Amino acid sequence: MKFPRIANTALALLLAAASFSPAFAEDGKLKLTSRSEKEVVEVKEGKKSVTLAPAEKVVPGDVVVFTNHYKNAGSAPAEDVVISNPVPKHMTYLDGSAFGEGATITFSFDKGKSFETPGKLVKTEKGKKRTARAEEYTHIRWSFKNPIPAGKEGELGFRARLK
Amino acid sequence: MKKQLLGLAASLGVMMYATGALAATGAGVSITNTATARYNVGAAAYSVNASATPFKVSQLVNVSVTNMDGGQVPVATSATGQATSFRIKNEGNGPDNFILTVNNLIAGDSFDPTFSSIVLDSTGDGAYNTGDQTYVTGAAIALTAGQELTVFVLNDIPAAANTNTGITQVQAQSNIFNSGILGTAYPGAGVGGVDAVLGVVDGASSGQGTYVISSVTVTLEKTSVIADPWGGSQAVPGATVTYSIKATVSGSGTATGLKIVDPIPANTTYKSSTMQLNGAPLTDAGSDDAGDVNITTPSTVTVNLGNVAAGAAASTVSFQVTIN
Repeated sequence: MKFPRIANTALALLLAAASFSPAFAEDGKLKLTSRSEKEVVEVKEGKKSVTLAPAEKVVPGDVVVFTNHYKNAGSAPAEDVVISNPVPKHMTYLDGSAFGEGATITFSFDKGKSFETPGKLVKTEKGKKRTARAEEYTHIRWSFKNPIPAGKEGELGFRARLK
Repeated sequence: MKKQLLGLAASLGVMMYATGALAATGAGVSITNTATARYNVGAAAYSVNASATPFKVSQLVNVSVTNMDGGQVPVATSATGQATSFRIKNEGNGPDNFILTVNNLIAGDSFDPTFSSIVLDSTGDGAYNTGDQTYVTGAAIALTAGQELTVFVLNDIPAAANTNTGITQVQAQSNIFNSGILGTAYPGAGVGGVDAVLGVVDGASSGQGTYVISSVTVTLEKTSVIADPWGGSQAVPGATVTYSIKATVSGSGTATGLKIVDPIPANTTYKSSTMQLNGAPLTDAGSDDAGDVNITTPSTVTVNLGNVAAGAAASTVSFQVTIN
């Protein structure tokens, strides 16, 4: 691992600062934002177009798209990036809707204790084993196989229905 | 793109209304999404959170009107105040107020009932009885999300030919959210200032009930035979009188819950265990068969014949008394 060249005094200051910072420091320069949107269907001159607009007028039964945007604003690659997203309260995850390039997507139905791909999520109910249903998922996780290079940005997310 | 209205800073997703596990999410509930990223840069580990700007669940306007009669309601021609029952339910996720209107000019029937009144099941027992309040025309009935109310629509039946049907229709409509196609929004007009969105056209729903003319006539013929202690037919003390009551149902339809009720005549004493239905003995005790003596009503013979269709074979109840 290479450390950037810095002046001794600066290094001293940096080390001093580091000694006071918590184990998980606030800013390694990976920026993350999250937004909620709803599909808007418009028909103009017989042509149907679907766009996303900030979530509003959302009523039970509606589908909301939750999107997380990441960007490595630093000068070094971000490694072993794992993004975890609990399924929001009052929402039910929509089967097969999770998206995110470059990441392995896994799910949990036991409140984040364990994560697996859908086929491997086995639940025991009344002594019988079955795969967990999408409606039972409590968390979604994106695990990036490769480091996210400096400057790279992307989006990942999922759809869920309001109960 | 329209800017989203931001929720109040202090909003913690206050639950406005208690909901069961399967109930729709209440209007005004705050929804957000939070993601956490953990990653390493060199030897250092980092984490960062992000939360989506919260939005509040809008109010869905919806109502259902379900007929509860379980079939056509048999009525006699010229009968008044004949009740049909309906369940009005607020199917939305927020409180709303509904105005009821009746329309009896419905196609597909043989006669139009004449509107009499709407009665609310104020006593909450599902049956039309005293204590239930008359609905004031145009009044707005308040229902919380998921709440239901039974109402009775009372109509008068015209003089008409037998076996004809008449349809009555009652509509429940939101008093404010009452115009537009599905999805029409009333910005800021819902509970707590959220948007209200129509989940049913014009915020209204209706249900129908059907009357069927059922002209049933029950004819009772009562005869008596006296047997005195000396082999004659003198009505003297000690003589036995055998009474027979023959019930015949004619016309069209079914006489429901038909009962033969005959008080033991004054100055006589019922002879135990002499009650019979169509020649077969009935016990004097209650609950074990169709008849009883002195149980349902003191000093009275009561026999339940149940539902008897017009044209069915006549039933005969008989019993004996001794002249005191």
